[in-house]
Amino acid sequence: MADAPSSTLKCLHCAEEFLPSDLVTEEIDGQTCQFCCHGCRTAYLIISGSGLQNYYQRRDRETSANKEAIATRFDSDYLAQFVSHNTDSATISLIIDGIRCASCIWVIEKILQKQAGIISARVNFATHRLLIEFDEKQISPAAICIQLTQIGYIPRPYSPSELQNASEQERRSMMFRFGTAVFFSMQLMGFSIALYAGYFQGINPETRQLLQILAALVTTPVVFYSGYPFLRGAWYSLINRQPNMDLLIALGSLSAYSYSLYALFLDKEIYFDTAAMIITLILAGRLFETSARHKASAGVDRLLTLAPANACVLRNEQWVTIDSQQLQPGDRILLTAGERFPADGRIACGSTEVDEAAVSGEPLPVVKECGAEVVSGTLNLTGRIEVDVTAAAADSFISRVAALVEQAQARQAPVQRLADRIASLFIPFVLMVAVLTYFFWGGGQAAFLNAITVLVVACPCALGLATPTAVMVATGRGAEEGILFRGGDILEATAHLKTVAFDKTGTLTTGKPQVSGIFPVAVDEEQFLQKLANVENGSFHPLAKGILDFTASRNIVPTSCENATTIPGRGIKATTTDGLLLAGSRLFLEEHGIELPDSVEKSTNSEVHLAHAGQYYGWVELHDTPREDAEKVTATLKRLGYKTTLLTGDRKKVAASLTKRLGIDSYHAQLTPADKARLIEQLPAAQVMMVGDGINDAPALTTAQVGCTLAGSTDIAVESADLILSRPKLSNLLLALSLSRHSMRIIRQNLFWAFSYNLIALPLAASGQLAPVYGAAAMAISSVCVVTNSLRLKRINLNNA
Amino acid sequence: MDPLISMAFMTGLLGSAHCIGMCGGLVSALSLTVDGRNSGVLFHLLYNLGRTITYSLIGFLVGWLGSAMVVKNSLQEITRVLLIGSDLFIILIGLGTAGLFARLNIMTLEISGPISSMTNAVKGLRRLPPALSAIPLGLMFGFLPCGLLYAMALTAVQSADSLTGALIMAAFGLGTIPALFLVGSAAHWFSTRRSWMLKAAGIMVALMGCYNLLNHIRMLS
Repeated sequence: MADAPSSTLKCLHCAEEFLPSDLVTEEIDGQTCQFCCHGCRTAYLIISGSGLQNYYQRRDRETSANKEAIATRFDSDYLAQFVSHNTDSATISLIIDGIRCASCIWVIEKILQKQAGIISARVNFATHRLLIEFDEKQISPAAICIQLTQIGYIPRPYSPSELQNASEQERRSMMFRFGTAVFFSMQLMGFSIALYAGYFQGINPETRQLLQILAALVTTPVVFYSGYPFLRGAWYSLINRQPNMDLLIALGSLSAYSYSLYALFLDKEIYFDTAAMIITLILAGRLFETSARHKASAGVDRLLTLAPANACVLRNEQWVTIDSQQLQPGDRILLTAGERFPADGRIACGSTEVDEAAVSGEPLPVVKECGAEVVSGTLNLTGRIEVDVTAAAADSFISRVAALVEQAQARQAPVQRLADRIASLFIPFVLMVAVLTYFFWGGGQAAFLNAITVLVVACPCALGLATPTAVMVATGRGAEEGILFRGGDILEATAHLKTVAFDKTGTLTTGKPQVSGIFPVAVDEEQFLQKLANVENGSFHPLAKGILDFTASRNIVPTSCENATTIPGRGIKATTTDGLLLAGSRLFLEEHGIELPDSVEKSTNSEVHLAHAGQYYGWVELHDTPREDAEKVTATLKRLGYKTTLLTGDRKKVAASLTKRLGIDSYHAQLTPADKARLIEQLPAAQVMMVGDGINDAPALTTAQVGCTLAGSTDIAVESADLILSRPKLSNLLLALSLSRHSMRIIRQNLFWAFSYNLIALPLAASGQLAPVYGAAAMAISSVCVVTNSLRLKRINLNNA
Repeated sequence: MDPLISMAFMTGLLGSAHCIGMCGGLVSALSLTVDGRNSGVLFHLLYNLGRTITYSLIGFLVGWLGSAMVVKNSLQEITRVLLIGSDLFIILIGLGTAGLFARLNIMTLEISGPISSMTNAVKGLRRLPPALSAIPLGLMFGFLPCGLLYAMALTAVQSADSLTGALIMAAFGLGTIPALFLVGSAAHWFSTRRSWMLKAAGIMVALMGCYNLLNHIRMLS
């Protein structure tokens, strides 16, 4: 033996390593091939002799045990298209096959979050979509996919059509498995009835044996084909060391099945019907749950399907139809009457009426001229127009809304943590109870059945479903009403609010102040307005807009100031060749050493003062009307027991007058954004909601327990907001509050039912009062009850709080 | 039920860690259709059914042979030596496979089969649709030389009963089936435990040998 025993060779046929002492060689085409045994040599010769050599190449490519092979299946270049990059992290959306219940989601999130380089991983229960935020330097998307495959879930990059395919496939396979289960269970029922009848009336042993064998034959496909998802889940739960409910179901049905096989040989009582009914009933529950899940996520889907899949785009002087997903900013697209806009854009040519109901809730069509902005998903009613795309389909308004809703559905409400912790401890506990039950009842047949019932009945699924389903339905319902919750945690926090703080401009008022008086000092009106227009030009503040609208109506063309800077809550300053140009509040000018005449502090309107090079030039008065529904909202809030307060950068007088008019409890005026945040911090109890326009209220929105923005339809991606009212209606705030309270009530009901179900069912099963079949039925019904209860949120009337 | 049957089943289960390399590869290659796709679960099922039928047939024949040997009183002396000798051989082989002696194990029992005739048969059968060719292919490859198979066949001889022999072999065949269905990560999990499973199978074989040895000593004394 020349070779050291430690050096191993690799067999050409079975690809296993072996010791040189076992070597078998064969000369093939002048090459020496090495085999571990004669069997492998024979197999190789037969395979290659029959012209099947390509099997070996195929195998080497496909062996899924081989990490590299998986890595090529998850091609990095391909996956890279789906990664979006942030400043110091990247995110990717994946659709996950193989998720069966809430505990799968728990496992995926838990295992991924343990992985170095993964910042966060969230699975949306409704869509089985996994959103991973990760550090590209530490982990690649392909590595993440491999990790997922190893724990038993198959990932695919997300796209709406993939999602459709995945759910379609899942439903079809589930239907097939369920159909098979029902078909065979019916046969089985026939045999069982015959056997029971025989039990009482006597039956000849051969017939009995035959019936039992037939029962075994029809049960086998139910357990192994229909029950495959459970068996697979149980297997992976063992590999991952994360016991889940599949394990309970698999243990229950497999032990009934194998015991019956054993009993068949010993000619004892068989329980094939138990094994088959467990699978059939639980599958029925799953099927129902899946369809409910789809119903719940339909709101988001509908939103996404509003934007058409195809767009007619100008390419090389010709109109061609392409996939809307491929639209890029700058593309020119053509729309005829009756089409929906595939992407956000600006009308380049033509005019039309647009139905924006889907986005703004506004039922009346809006006239849009050349240059007007259009939002994807809205309906072009009358004209044939050309539109310049301003945002790719993926960045369009409705995609952002849909993404927001999906993220929200994946964000857990704090109540769920309790349920999760219980669910994870629950399964080992149940296994223990099952074993104890078996021994307590003396280890006989009855004991065995009782133990099986314990396994089957004690499923934490209802517990796992209680919160996510309610959060999912509530966020979906909210999205339909134009209320976007950022997550389950926000939903819960919103339900516990005590105080609502309002910003004034743009929130309680329309945010479109109009100039109601011009008071130039020392210069003529024309010159005054020109200077004012120059400094305000380019600002997005509502007051600036009001002023610019007014100057435009006077045919004043503003020349822009190069270095105008906005001081939030104060005003704007710009340096010109002639000196410092200031426009803003009285306080702002005084801070810069400008002396203002006393007479100006008298009106309840907003004022913008102007000074140039140290000289005071006068002021304009702007009048901002309260929103139509502001009074109704504040009155209702008061009736419901909320404290209300007004936080504004405006003058005391303005704030006081509005406070009085709307019946708000208190007000704080002349605040900078930082002041607002500080005030919110100081408010008693943390349960404060700040309602603002999201632009200059950002710090306050972040500080408040719940930051709510009332977005002018397209500004929904306000980072600092937790709750976004995407329609310009303040009264939606009431709906949001009502929805959150209803959701919390439903969640509490769900948890109560799930807990009490287990509390009642488990002792019943352990004490032998339940047959396994009823256990399975009870389990399926408990899940169905929870889901159905959550679905009520879809129809609940939000107007009576 | 004869404990040998359940032991044979266990041997099959454990020993299939060995099968998955050789037989698994063979059946996977055979299941490829002409256009290179897998022909699915049905093919595997039928193939394995065929293989198990062959095993049972072998078990039936050798069991009958064994019974014939025991019955002939004239051969008693030879029988005794043969029986005890083969028991000892099986125990040795089992222990060897379990890792006690490096040189003697089940692999070394394997010899090459009639390659050219089998290859020709495969070529002919592959003209049939996969579902039809599966059983004949299984029947044929049941005869493929395999160390474990010999050990089981020897035990079947010693059972000295054609029915028990057939049952032992059928149980062994059934035991090998599950492993051949494992794919992907499960197969990987399996193959990493290949060596200890094979060792356990060896111990199982040795145990069967011991059981037979005890029986035969009792029977002959």
